[in-house]
Amino acid sequence: MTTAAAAHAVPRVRRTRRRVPWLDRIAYGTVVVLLALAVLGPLLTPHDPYSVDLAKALQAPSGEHLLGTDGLGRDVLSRALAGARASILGALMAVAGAALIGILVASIATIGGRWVDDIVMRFCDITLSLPVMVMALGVAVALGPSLRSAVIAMVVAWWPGFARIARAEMRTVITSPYVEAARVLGASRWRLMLRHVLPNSLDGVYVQATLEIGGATLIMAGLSFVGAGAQPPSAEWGAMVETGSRYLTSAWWISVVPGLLITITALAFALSGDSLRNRNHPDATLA
Amino acid sequence: MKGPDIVSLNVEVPVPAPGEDLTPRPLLEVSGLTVSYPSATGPVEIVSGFDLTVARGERVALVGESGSGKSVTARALLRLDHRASVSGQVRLDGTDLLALDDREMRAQRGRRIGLMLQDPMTTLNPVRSIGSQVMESLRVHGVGKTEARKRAVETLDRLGIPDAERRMRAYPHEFSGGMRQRVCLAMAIVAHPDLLIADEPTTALDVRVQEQVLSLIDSLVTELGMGVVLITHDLGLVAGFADRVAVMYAGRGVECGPVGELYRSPRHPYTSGLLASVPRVDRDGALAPIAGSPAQPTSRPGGCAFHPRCARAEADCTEDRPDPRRIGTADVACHHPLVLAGEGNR
Amino acid sequence: MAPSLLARYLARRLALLVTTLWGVVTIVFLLIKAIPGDEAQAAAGVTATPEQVEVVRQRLGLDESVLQQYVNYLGRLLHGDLGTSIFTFQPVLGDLQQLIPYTVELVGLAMVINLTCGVPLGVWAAARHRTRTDNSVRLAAIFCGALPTFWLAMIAQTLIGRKLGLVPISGVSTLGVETPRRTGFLTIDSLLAGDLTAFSDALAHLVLPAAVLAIPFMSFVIRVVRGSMITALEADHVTAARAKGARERTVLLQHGLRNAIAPVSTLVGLQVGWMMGGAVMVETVFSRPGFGSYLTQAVAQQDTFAVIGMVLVVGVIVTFVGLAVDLVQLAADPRVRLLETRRASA
Repeated sequence: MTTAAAAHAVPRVRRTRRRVPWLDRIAYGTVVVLLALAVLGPLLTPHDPYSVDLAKALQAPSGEHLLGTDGLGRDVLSRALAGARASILGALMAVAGAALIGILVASIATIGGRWVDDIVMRFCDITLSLPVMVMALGVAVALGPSLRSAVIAMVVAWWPGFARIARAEMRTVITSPYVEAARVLGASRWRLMLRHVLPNSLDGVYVQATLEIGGATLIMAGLSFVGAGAQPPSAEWGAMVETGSRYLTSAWWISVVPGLLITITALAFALSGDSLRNRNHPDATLA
Repeated sequence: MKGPDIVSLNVEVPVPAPGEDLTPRPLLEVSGLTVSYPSATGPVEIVSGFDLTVARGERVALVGESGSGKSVTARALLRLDHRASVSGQVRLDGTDLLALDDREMRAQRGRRIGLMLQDPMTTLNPVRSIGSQVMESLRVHGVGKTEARKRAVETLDRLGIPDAERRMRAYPHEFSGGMRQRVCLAMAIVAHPDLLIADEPTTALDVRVQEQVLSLIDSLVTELGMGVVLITHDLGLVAGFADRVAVMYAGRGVECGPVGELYRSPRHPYTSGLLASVPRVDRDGALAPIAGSPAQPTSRPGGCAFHPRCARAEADCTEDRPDPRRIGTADVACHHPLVLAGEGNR
Repeated sequence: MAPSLLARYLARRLALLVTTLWGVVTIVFLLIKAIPGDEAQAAAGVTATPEQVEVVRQRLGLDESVLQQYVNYLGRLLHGDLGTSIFTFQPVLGDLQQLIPYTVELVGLAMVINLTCGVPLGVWAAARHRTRTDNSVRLAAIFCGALPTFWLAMIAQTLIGRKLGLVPISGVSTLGVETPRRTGFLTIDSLLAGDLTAFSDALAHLVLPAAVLAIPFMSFVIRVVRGSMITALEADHVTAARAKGARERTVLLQHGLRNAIAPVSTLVGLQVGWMMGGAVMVETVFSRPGFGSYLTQAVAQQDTFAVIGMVLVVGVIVTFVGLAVDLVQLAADPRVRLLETRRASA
């Protein structure tokens, strides 16, 4: 039947690499620069970020101090560069930790059968409903405020999000024909999980992780700002904003520089994650 | 037939005066309809110069493969897709639809032309009640709530929805596929349009329900004196329903004529190929599918778009695009149509 | 939904509420137990003598087994005892009752701003999908989501409050403007007292912090409304509505936004909790009394029980908001009703 056959005739799909829009390129480029800063930043500082010189306090941006000095005469540019490590690596570690635990828990839920799955996912939902900021404050105060506690707090608060995404994908993969075929061939549950399900269900997690690094930077900085993260005198962007808050009318650069850096970091990762997701699923419209 | 007779309510069927020309003035006249859509590589022409006439009370089937442009044509007649650029002429009862402004066009939709879509699962909004959706067809044209409700219940009742009054409050998921398609039909005709365009109205249904829905459309046409354009890829369906058939290929009409003649002696090689590929009880012999695959809108061949798949194609087919001409009772766009012995190929 | 099924659904939902609350409490209890160091010492304060610490240890039951402590903790919570602040020496619940209205006012107004700006922007972008407008709104939304709340608060406070002098820069009311307290909500109390000066004063103190708090949340609302609207607008029922002659506004609201209620209300429910987290920073910057600044102080003073009590309170609030969201969806979306009916009868 020509008509019916034609009705099902699928036009050949040509896989073309779509051009990357300029904004996405800038975002990717910025991410690369930021990651480089996180590694190399502390080596690039023109001045010692911790050396206090009250005689030079609150100097406006000049040839010697490109971005001025803070209330204790420390060079703002040097502190911003040094702070990249704490702020960006901190966020990366928090997201990586949360993603790892999320994947592990999702695997257990997928292998463990209905009861385990129900209980684990219920627990995820409850944890997810608690605001990260408040949870993290709880953890931070329990462990004593420090950058390390802030990272741990974020991991504790964020793994359930990753667990849900990973589990949803694993559910889809585990019911697919090729996994079924492997099962029929007698593969053990763990083998199925490690060789077939896990490698094929992590795309969503990667994209989510990229998207979340931006958010993690914001929350890490927020925790430092309210005093539950990195402690003075350590150079960290959130803490730097806090130190500068007293001088906002007289020496705006102390707060504005780290604040802009936080915004740029969050924006670059958000745009990159968005772009990655659009490339994975061109028709995904849900934010 | 149960339920009040809709005809008696408020439809005037024009009665020709004695001595007047009895050939009815066409209700819908489409000529040179061209529809193109923007794409990354510039505009793509989906429909290129399509002609069609439909008289009052006439049932015309528009037949073609997927991608031939028949659904695009339906949407273009109602000017539903603002991304499409539509040119040519579309006259409904003398009014040039393409010349209307947006507000005037809106007044035509639903009231003058009703549209029925393929999939009743998605044509009904899952979060709104059946009643509100049928009433919407009247409410948007300024009919009061009480009146709209009354007419919606009457129409649903007429279309065989049991306990229509109560089921107005039900939601789409509470209905079976066939019942849902009746609701869709109700939405399309409750405002008594002059023309009903049904885009594959039975494709998503099973065979028994297909017949019920078709016969409902059939009886409504008679009652209301509507013209109908039935869009389908199913030639079998057309045989029992349509007065005339228009066959579309690659955005052009290739053959249009009365259903009987078209089936008995197709003129266009494509029509003949289509018919040969449909199983029929009145003929023996193997089914013969048309070789090749349908032309894609982005890469339609020049000349006659069908020539790469056509056994009768000659050199002129690759160069000149054939215009429709009258052969017997049909309009055929082909340089080398199939002709019966004794008929001259003008 | 039939009444008996509705009752069964509500029973199931309440059971879920109880388990969720129990889950929150357990998480919080585990949090306390994870604290390194001597809890009794922490509760008694740094200056306490060893004898005093022992008294506190016995009073709090910390000499008993962990399981017994867990049971005791549950018991105390059931009596509304959230613990005692080691700094104010007041019961946490009492402190909270005075402070929470300020935060509720802040979060409430922020939510109003969030929705009145975010929803229309999302709808607008979806209506102009794949155009420059759509892209700009999408990018603006991403940008809003990348602004650090505390920094934005500081900048807004300095520019709009200090430099332009448009609104007060801190606190909840101007010195000398007194409002008799009844509900604890300044805006409501001033209205009850018929004091418009006090009302506008309270509002002036509220509007900037609320706007700042709303901005990052608008980012999500815009994106979710836009995304679910685009999905909804691709459905056939939207074409059907246009074919009925419905206005574009009706199509957008009745067939687009209405279908997006479920995902949007889920998001709004989650945002209530997240906003309380954001209030921590905003209240600190604008020196407003409330849940957030109490929490920051408690963190600064290592006031463990106050912090833990706060986490618990937020958990409870969020749980009840979740219940409200589910009920809204049950009322607004028959698909959710269907799902729940199936679950309830399973």
